[in-house]
Amino acid sequence: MTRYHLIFLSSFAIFIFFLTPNINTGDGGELATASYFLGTAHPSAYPLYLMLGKAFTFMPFGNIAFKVAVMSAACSALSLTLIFWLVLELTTETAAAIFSVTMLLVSYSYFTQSLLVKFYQLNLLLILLIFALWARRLSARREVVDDDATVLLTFFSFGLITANHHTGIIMLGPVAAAWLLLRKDSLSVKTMLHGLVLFLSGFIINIYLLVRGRHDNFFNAVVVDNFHDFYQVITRQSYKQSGTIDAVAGSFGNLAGFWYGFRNFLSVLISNFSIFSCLLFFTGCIFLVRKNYRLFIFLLFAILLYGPFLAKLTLGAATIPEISFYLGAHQYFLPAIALFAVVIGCGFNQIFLWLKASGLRLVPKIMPFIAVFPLVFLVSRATDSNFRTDFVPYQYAKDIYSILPADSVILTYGDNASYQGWYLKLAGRYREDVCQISSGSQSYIHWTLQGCNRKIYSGVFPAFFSQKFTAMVPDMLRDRFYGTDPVKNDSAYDSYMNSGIFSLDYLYYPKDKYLDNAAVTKKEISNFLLRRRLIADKLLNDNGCLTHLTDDLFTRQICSAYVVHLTNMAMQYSGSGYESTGKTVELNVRDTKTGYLQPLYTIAVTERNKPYLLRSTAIQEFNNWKIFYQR
Amino acid sequence: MLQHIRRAATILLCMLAVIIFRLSLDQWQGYQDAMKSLHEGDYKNAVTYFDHTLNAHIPFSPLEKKAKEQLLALASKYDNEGEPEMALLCYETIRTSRYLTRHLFVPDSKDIPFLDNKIASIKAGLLVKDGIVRNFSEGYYQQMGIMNKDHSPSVLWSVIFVASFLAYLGFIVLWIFKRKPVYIYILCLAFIGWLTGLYLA
Repeated sequence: MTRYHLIFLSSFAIFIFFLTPNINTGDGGELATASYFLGTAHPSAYPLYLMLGKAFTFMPFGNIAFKVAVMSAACSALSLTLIFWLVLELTTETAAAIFSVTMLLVSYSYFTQSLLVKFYQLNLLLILLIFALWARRLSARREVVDDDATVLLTFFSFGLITANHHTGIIMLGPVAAAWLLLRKDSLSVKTMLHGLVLFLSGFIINIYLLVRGRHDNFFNAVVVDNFHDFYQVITRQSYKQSGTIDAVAGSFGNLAGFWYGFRNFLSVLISNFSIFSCLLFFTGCIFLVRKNYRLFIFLLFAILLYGPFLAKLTLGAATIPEISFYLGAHQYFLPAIALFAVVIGCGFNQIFLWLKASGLRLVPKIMPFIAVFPLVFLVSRATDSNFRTDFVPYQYAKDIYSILPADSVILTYGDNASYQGWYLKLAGRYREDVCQISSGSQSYIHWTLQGCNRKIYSGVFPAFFSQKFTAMVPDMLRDRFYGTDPVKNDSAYDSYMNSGIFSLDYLYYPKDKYLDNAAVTKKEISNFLLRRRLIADKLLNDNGCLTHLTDDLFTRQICSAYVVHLTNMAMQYSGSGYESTGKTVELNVRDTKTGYLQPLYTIAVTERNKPYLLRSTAIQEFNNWKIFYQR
Repeated sequence: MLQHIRRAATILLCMLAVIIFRLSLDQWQGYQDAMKSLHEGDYKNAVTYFDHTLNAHIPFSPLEKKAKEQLLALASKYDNEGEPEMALLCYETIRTSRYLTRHLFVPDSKDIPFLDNKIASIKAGLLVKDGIVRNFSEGYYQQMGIMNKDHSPSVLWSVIFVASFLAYLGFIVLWIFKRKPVYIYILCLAFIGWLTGLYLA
C-alpha cells in the first residue's frame, strides 16, 4: 500500500463513519429516487451523477440513499488524495501534504458535503482533476512527457462537467490562463480536433435526458420530451436570472456585488479554516511565487474565480438571510476551499523551511504531529455535522404518510417534504394507497404528479385527475385531502380551500360556498381532527429531533413541524376536563416552513398536557442554534 | 497490469469492509435501542429503531432477521389489540425497508406477498370503516392492484447500461493515454450498449 492508498482509505473510512444513514434534507430524496429509477432531477438534471449513482445502487449493502451517498464519500476521498499528490509534488514534504489534507477534511463545508446525497463532491473531483493536470504541466520541477493527454483529458472532463454541475465550467478561465502562461506550447490542429471530439464524447452523456426524461417515464422531476425542453433544462432556464446563461451574462453587472461577495466569501473561509489560516495562506503564496510563479498565478486565478467571483453570483448581497447563506456557502465554494487548502499546505511547508533554516533541530520531528493536529477538530464535526445521527428527514417523510387515513391525497410543498416523500413512496413503496402531489409554491395552482402516477392512481382518485375542483369536493368531504403546509391567505388555493391543523399535515377542506350545510360540516371536520390527531400522536416519532447531532438548517425546520404537533396536542389536553396544575403557558410557535407565526395562545397547564409542553420546549431548545457560518 | 488489478481489488475490498463495519454498527446500535425500548414498553420507539436496523441492510445478517421477527410480532400484537393503524405501520415498515434496500433483487422478497396481503387487509378494513369503499373485497382488491404494480427499471438492462457506461468512460481515458485504435471500436460498442440499456431499462 502506498501513501496515496492510505490517504484515500483513511479519509473514506472517516466519511463512511459519519455518512447519512438514509436520505438527507434538500435534494437528497430526489437524487436518490432519480438514480434508482433512472429518471431526471431538477435542472440541469445531473445525468452523470444519476448514472454513477445507479451503479452504486447495485451494491448489496445499506439502503438506496446510503449507497448513493457512498459516492459522495468516495469522490471526497479521491479529491483529498489528489490534493495530497498536488501538495507533495509542490513541496516534496509529506507533512505539508498531510496538513493540507487534514485541514480540508475537517473543514465544515467539505466535511458535511462528503456525507450527503449531493453532486458537489463529484463536481469538485472533476474540477480538481483538471486543475491537477494543468498544475502538473505548469510544474517546472518535472518533465511532462505526454502533453497531448493533458489537453485531451481536459476537453473530455469539460464535456463530463456539462452533465453534472455547471460551476465546473468556470475552470475554463484558469485553464485558458495556464495555456497562455505556457507560451512555448502551441496546440496542433490535430490535438484541437481530437479535443473537440472528446468534449463531445463527454457532452453526449446529456443524451440521457432525451432518452429517460420523457413524460411517460415512471419518475422524472423535469420532463424532457424534445430539444426545446432539453435546452431549457440543460441551461436551467426555469431559474430565470439564476439560470446558467443569464447568470453568466449578468455576472459583471452590479459592481458592489463583488465587494459583498468577497466579504462573504472571506467569512466562509475564516469559518472553515479559522483566521490563522490567513497567515499560512500568505506564507503559502510566498512559497509558490518563489517556486513557480506561473503555477501561483494559475492557482490564485482559480481561487479568485471559485471564491469572490462565484460569491458575487451567489452571495453578492449586503445582508444574506440564514437560508441563503446556508445554501450558498455550504456547497458552491468547495473548489475554492480545496485550492485554499493547497496554498495553506504550501504555507505550512514554508514555515517548516524557515524554522529548519533557523537551526531548530526538533522541527522535523514535531512537524508530522502538527500536520495531523487538525484532526482534533473532528470532535467539532462529530457534534455539528454528524449525519450518521440524523434520521429526521427520513422519519419526517415517513410520518407525514403514516398519519394519513387510507386512500388519501397529500399535497407536499418544497424540497424537504416533496423530495423525501418521493424517495419513501416511490423507491420504498411506502403507503402506496396514498397519492402524493407536489407544488413548489402556493402562489399558483400547479401540481406535479411524480408521487401520484396516473397509470396507478387514475382509477383510485378519478376526481384528482379531472382537473375540476368541484369534482374533488366529495373526496375532500370524506377527509381525504391533506397538505404539508396550511393554505395561506394570499395563496392561489385560498379561493377554493381552507385548512385545519391536523398534526404534521394539514387537512384541506372546501370553502363554505362549496358546502350544503357549512356549520354541520365544520363541526364534523373539527371532531374528525380531534379524533385523528390522537391516532397521529401514536404513530409519529419525534425522537430524532432530540438525538441528531447536526446543525442542518432544514433538519431544524422539519423539527419545528413536530413542535406544531406537540403544541396542538397540548392544546387539546388543556380543557377543563383535565387536572389543572394551576399554571398557564403561552404558546408561540413559528412554523418556519411557512414563515408563519402560529397564533399566540395562553393555555392551562394540565397533568395531561405537561409532557407535550416539556417535549415541545425540549425540541425547540435542542434545535435552537445558528448554522456554522453564523455562529 | 496484474499488480494494478490486485491493488485495485485490495482497495475495493477495504472499502467494502469499511462500509460493512459501519452498517454492522448501525444495525447493532439500532437493535440494542429497539430491544431496550421494547422492554420499557415504548413500542413506538422500538418500531423506529427496528426500522433503522432493517435499513442498514447486510445480506444474511442475523440482527436484521431478528428485527423483522420482532416487528412482525409487534404487528400481530397490535392487530389482536384492535389497533390497525399501528399494525399497518409495522407491516409497512418491513415492506418498505425491503424495497429501500433492493439491489439486483429485493432482499427477503419471499415475505412480500405475505406483507402485501396483511397490508391490503388492514387498509380494506379501514376503508370500509370510513365508508370509502362498499365492502372489504373491493378495498382489498383495490389495494392489491396498487401494490402489485412495480415500475422499477429492468435489472438486466440497468446492469448492461451501467457496465457499458463505465466501459465507455474507461476506454475513452485509455485511448487518451495509449491511443490504440482498438479502444475506439470498444468504446463505440460500449456507447451503443449504454444507449440501448438506457432506453430499454
